[in-house]
Amino acid sequence: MIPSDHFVRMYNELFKMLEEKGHSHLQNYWRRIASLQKTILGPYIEKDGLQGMYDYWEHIRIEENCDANLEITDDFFEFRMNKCPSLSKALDNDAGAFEYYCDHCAGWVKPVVEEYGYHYSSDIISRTLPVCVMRIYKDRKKAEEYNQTHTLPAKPY
Amino acid sequence: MRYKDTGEVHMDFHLATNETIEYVLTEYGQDFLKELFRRTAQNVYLDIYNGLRKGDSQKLLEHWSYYYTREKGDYIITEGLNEVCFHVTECPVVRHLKENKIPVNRAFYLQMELMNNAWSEDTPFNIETSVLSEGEYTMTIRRTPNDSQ
Repeated sequence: MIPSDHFVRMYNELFKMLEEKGHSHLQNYWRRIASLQKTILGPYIEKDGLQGMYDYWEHIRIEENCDANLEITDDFFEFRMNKCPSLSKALDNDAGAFEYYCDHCAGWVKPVVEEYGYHYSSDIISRTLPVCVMRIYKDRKKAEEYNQTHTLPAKPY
Repeated sequence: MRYKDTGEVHMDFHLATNETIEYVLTEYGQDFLKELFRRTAQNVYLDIYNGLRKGDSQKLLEHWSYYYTREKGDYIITEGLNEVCFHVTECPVVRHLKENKIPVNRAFYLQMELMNNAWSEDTPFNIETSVLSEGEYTMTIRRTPNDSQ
């Protein structure tokens, strides 16, 4: 088996192979995983909206050993990653990290939250430091305003 | 061990692996999947692969033992004269998929065979993968007959 802890390093290789075939191949794969993600994250959003997102990512913070802070306001849910275990593993990897590794996260999450009428905004900040900020807004305009503040906006599609 | 994770385990990654294997097989075919697992076995697990190339299977056994234990699988290791058999009696991946009512992918066992074949490529070992029943299988590391080490 591929240990669950090592799925990250396996799909990091898949990202490289799909990118070699063309970026649309990578995007199609992200969409496929987004569909799976919807079956897991979707019920949380359907039940409790932003609070549901908070509950889901709090569970992720614990299970994936993330050093992260979560916040919820009237406008948005924020997941602030202080040390991302996923990028950390991709970097600590004898095969080397895929150049656009971080983009997959938005690629998997953005389509799901948008299906529920929310607006995704994420600042990757750096491709070599395991920090980032993701916000999911109720209001499109506020998400777009927040996008303007980003160092490295995530644009998976 | 080159990679040795600690802390919590996010078992749902197995759902994504299961989905990924199905996707890759359907969209790109078995050769593409084979190449993916070759890169994973030989490039990601470079330390294990280098050990095997030098005639040392201990790192692979340590890797299997650590991660099957970490994910609460059950296994038995038996050693023979020129072989070591890692017998998985309860696979944690199959258990997790069943708990989530997700069918085990048609290529779940193929994945292990491809990994094991890639690990044994250009080494003095053959790694035979045999499925005994759903969630039960053996992976036997055997020195090839013409290897004198």
